[in-house]
Amino acid sequence: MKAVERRLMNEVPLLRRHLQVSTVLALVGGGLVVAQAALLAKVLADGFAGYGADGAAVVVPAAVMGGRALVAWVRGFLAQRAAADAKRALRDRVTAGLRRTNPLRLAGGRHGETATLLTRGLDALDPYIVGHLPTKAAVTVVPLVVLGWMARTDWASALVVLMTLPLLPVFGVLVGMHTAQRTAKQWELLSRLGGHFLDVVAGLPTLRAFGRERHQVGVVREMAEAHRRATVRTLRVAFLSSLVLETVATLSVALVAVPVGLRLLGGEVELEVALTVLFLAPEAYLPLRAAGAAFHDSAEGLGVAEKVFAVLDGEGRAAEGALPVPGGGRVPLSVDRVTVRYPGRAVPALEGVSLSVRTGEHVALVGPSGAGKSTLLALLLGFVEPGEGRVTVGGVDLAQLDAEAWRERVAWVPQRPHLFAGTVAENIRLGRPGASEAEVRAAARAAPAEGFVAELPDGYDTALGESGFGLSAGQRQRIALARAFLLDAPVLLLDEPTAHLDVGSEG
Amino acid sequence: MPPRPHPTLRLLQHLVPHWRRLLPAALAAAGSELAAAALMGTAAWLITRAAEQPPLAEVALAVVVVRALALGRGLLRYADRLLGHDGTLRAVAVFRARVYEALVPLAPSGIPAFRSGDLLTRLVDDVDAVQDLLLRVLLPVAAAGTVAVAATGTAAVLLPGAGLLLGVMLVLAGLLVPVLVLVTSRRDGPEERAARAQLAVSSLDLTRGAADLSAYGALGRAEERVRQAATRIARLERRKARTTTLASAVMLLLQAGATVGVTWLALGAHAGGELAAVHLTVLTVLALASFEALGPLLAAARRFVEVRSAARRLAEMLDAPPPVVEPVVPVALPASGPLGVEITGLRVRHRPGGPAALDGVSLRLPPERRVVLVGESGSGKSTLIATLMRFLPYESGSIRIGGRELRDCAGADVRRAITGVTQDAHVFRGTIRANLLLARPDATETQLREAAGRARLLEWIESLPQGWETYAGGDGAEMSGGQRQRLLLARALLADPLVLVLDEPTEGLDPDSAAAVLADILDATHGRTTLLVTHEREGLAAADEVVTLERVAAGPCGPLLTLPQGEG
Amino acid sequence: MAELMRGRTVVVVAHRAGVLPHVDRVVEVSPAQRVAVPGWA
Repeated sequence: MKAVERRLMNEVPLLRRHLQVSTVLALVGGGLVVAQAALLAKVLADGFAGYGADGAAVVVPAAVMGGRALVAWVRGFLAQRAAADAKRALRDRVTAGLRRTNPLRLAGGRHGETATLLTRGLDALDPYIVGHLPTKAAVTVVPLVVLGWMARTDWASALVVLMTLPLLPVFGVLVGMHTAQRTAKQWELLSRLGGHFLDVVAGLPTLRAFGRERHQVGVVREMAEAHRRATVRTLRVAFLSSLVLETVATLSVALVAVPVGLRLLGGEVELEVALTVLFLAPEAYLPLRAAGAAFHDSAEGLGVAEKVFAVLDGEGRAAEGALPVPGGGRVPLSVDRVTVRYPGRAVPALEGVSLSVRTGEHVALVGPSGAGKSTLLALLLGFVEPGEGRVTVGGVDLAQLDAEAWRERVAWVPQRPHLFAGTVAENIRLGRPGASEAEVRAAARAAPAEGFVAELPDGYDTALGESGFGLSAGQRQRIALARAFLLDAPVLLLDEPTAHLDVGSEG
Repeated sequence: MPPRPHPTLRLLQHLVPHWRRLLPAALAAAGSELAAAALMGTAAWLITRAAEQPPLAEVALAVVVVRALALGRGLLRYADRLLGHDGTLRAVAVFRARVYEALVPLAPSGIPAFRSGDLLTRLVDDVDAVQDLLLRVLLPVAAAGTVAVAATGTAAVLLPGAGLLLGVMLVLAGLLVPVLVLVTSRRDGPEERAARAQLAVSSLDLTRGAADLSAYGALGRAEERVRQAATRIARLERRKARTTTLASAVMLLLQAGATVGVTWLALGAHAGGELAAVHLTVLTVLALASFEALGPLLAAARRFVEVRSAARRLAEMLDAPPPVVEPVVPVALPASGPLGVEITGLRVRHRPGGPAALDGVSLRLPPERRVVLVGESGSGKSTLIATLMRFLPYESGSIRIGGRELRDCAGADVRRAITGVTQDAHVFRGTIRANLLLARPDATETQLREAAGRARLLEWIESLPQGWETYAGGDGAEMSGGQRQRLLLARALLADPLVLVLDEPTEGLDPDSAAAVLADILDATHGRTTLLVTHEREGLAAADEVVTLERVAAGPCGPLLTLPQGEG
Repeated sequence: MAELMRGRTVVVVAHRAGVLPHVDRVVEVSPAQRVAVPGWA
């Protein structure tokens, strides 16, 4: 079991239970397989010998086969439930883990990746939990049960199976290693060729703008053909592993059936024994072949699990303080010889910088991009910790204050405000969900946002789409201003507040 | 208009001409499944016959056949897989080209897909779904059907009653069970999709909006929303668990019924002397083995559900009417300049019956003059450009270029005369050179260098290790924002249209780069009819004229105000 | 926006002084001068 699998079992104990239950069910299933083979062989041998068709004799194999269907259903049903529960547990863990990540990094970084991890990403665990784990359990148990009964019935055939059974995993691994090398090289070419269509379709408006759309029709066709040729070249090698596995399995059945048939000719074995062996032989290989297929499908899920653990192991924030905010926030702020270094960047974002702001003072920080202005705001918010120096609020070190209490006293209008899925009113109420309608309207009036909100289809109850879809950048900024106004905090931090607004249009 | 056939059928209609390519794959698939069933059947025959202790010669052939089938099965399966993928990919190649052709008139304003990266990716995935239709639905169904027919036929020959029973059970399994899958998937679809959408939206809010949430103390609430969505999904999946696994259990039950039934009938017939002993075991084994071939049908049914929704989406998309109707007899545009554009009382809607994006807009773009159109984001500036480039129709009003009415001219001709940097301008995966040559394939080195020079990109290109052959990455991922905008500008300049339009050429740039690029644009377009659209209000001093487009919330645009030069 | 700022401690960030609402003090920041600079305090 690989390290990531072991960790998965540890982090989600229900998976371990799932594996155990699957093993028990596989055992029962294996027993039923053996019973089915033996009973059918007996019925047929009796019929062959002329003992007549006894209704009761047929009922028992029917019950056994029905039992197999029941076991299969229970196995599948429990596996699906385990998958649903495991995914939910992991989703909750990731969500909790995100809290420890620096919000600025989360928001500005490859946020799409983490969000995808939570949704489609974790769904990739389904083949692992529903396919791979039960077949793994079956592989350890069923061939043994089958072999055991075969040995009891006819040790010569059992020997053949015993010797050919290990060939499957051995060949599988050997051929697999060989093909993995060859296919890895092809991967880049394949993804480039495959991605051509999306690129061309995405750029279709540009192609039309320059009158080149006709020309591309032929290119699309050519690239798809090139993709086909490259894919088939790769598949020729990739499918070799399943060719080998299946041929070994079916050849082994022949290797069992033919000698038994010849021994029957010589009268050395009974028909019932031969039939039992014939029915049992393929069942010994089936779990291995199923496990091989399920193993390939589970690879993606394990990759996702590793990403999940990366999030869970991610850097935590330093211990947070617990002191109350002095003076309710109506105090001077000071940045005292602070140096801020972002990880992975050689040059510090701020070096030995000092700034002090008196209570109630309005200070503007002006300068070109990259000078560290936004970093200063992040410092004041407590999103970023100084490597050297300190930030003080009313003389008290910010790091010792209760972060949530401090943020209640600070209203921040970011450069690119994020609007959430919810109504306009809910977005304005972000800092104070309990605010009254009148307060929301007053905030909107002051932003000013009242004008355009009134023109929206449902006014304040208009649902905003993803990231405030449907509103222009300027309108989003006004909503963010209304948010800040509603919070009614003693400290106000504004990041490029007029970037999208018409300066002269309102006060 | 006659009702159009079901979308999946239409998809199939596109692929039917390729049946010749897929026939070998279908034959190999059927062959490999038949070989597997025949292997067990022949082995059973061999063993039972051998039990009667005939001379060796009687079973020698069977021995050879068993060994040959054992080898052949694997080889046939390999061939089936390779031929299947090959034939399918050929069909996909042709289909992609067809879809592309159908998309041409719809770009960029005919369907919502061009406004969203996600929708576009899904469109491309849907096109590839045709692969699944062939490879994972049709081929397995063909193979299973062949085995079912062969097994029933063989059984019927041996014992008609058994053949009938087997046939009925196989039909039940082959039809009933996949239908069960189809029905249960459809029932659970909408609720589950809603829950997943909720999870997607709330996770995106939690990540993308982490800073805002943190600053306003709303993290806890956002996390709770994600947790609720995850719980909902888990609950639905648990409920679904009972039914999704039911289908395979039913399949096993039908196999049990068929095997036991056939065996019982065969035993009775053998006891009555109507059936040879050898055929007794063969019938039982046939019943068992034929159901093995039906196994892939469950997965095929599930894939079919996905393909069906993909086909529906594709059909919807391709049925969309092109927004602009080409004139029957187009009027020719002047081949050389200078050209000016006169817009009077223009009304444009994005879709018929929708709100007017522009209403009563008038603008004069004099020849050889640079006019800057300023306005807040969302005020309709890009709509104006799209209308000028004949991507959107105009309902009323007039656009005259060189004295011709725009709607009387062919779209391709219009775009030869009016083009530039559009809002959704795309940098293709390819070299910088290839991206530039798009605007003018027969450009000389001198022309390339001149265009790059005027966009102030030349130095940067020549400083790169691979120069002009540098890979630009997916939509210019390998370049900075400013360089990407300059590349787009260079491309527009290389095209050298009679009227140059530039839609937000400083989009997404930080204020200093924006100012620099803007200055370079105004420098490079001296003496050329240019319409520059932007929300910036600074650095426009070099323009010949600055016009403001006012937009009143969600209402239509009013008439334009013209500000004298120097303001804004 | 002036109303929003009234009576609060405000720190505004902008790339150019001209686009700002009224403030009591303007502090210039430049990349080369991330080090403590007179006029910052």
